[in-house]
Amino acid sequence: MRLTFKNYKAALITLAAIAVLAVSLTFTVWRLLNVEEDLRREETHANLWQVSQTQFEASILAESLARAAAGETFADREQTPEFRLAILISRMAILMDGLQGQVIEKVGALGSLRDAYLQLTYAEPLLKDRIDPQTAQLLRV
Amino acid sequence: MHRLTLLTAVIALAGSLTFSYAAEPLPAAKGEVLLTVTGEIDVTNAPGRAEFDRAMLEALGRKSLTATFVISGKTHLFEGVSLRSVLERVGGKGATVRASAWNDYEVDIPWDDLKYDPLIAMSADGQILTLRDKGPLWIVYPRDDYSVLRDDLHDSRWVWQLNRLRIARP
Repeated sequence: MRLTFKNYKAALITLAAIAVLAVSLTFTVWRLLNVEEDLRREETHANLWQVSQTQFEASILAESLARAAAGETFADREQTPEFRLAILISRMAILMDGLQGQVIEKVGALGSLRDAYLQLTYAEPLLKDRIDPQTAQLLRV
Repeated sequence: MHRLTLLTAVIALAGSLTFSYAAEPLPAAKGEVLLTVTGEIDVTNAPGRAEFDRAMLEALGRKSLTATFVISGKTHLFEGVSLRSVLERVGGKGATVRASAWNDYEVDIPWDDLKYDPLIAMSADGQILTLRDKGPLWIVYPRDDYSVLRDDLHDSRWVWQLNRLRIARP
C-alpha cells in the first residue's frame, strides 16, 4: 500500500481518536476513584458506603460458602468462610454503632440487622478451622 | 579541647547506634504474619518486604493512648506499637504510607502525620483485637489530644484490620 496524503490523514485522525479515548478513560477512572474516596470520607455519604460494603461482604461470604459446599479447598485464608464471616461481622458491628446505628434505626432496619448479626455469631463456631461441605450447604440456606 | 573530642565521640556513637538499629537485620517471622511492609525500605526479612508477627511488633516497644473512636463515640485505651517505630525499624523513607486492610480498605497516610505519633493498636481496653473486631491491627490517632485530628480526613486514616503498609516516595 502506498502512503498517500489521504492515508496519512486517516492514520492521524485514528491516532488522535485513540488518544482522546485513552485520556477520557483515564479521567473516568480518576473520577471514579475520587468519588469512592469521598464516599468513604464524607460523613453524609459514609453511611451509604458502609451499607454497600456490608452488602458486598455478605455476597462474598455467600460465594465462599457455595465453594465450600461444592467441596472446594481454599489455598488462601482470605477466601475461607471463617475469614469472610469475621470481616462481615466487623462491618455489621460498625453499622449498629453510634451515629451509623441511629441512621439504620431511622430507616427501620436496626432490628433485622441485629437479628442477622446474632445469627452470624451463632454460626461462627461452625466455621472455625475447616468447614465440611454439608455444614456449608446448611449455612447457605 | 577534650570536651570537644568527647562531644564528637558521643555524637558519632549516637549516630552509629541509630544507623545500626535501622540497618540491623530483621529476623524471619516465626508466628502468623500480622503486618507486611513494602516499598522504600532498607531492611527486609522476605523477598522485597518486611514481615512482622505479634512478638516482633511487641519487641519494638509497647505504647498506649486513649482516644475516642468517632463511629461509636466511645473512648478506649489502645495499646500497641508506634507506627513510627515500625517504619524506623525497616529503615523506611518516603512521603506517604499506603495503609491497606484485610477488608480491602486503603488510605494514604502522609509522612507528616508521624509527628502525632499514631499507634498500631493490638488491643483495646485490655482485650486483644481480633479480625472480627477491627483487629488484629488498628491504626489509631491521638484525636483527643489534638483538635486538628478531629476531622473526616484524619478519621479516615483510622485503618482497622490493617495488614499492609507500603512506603512510597514523594
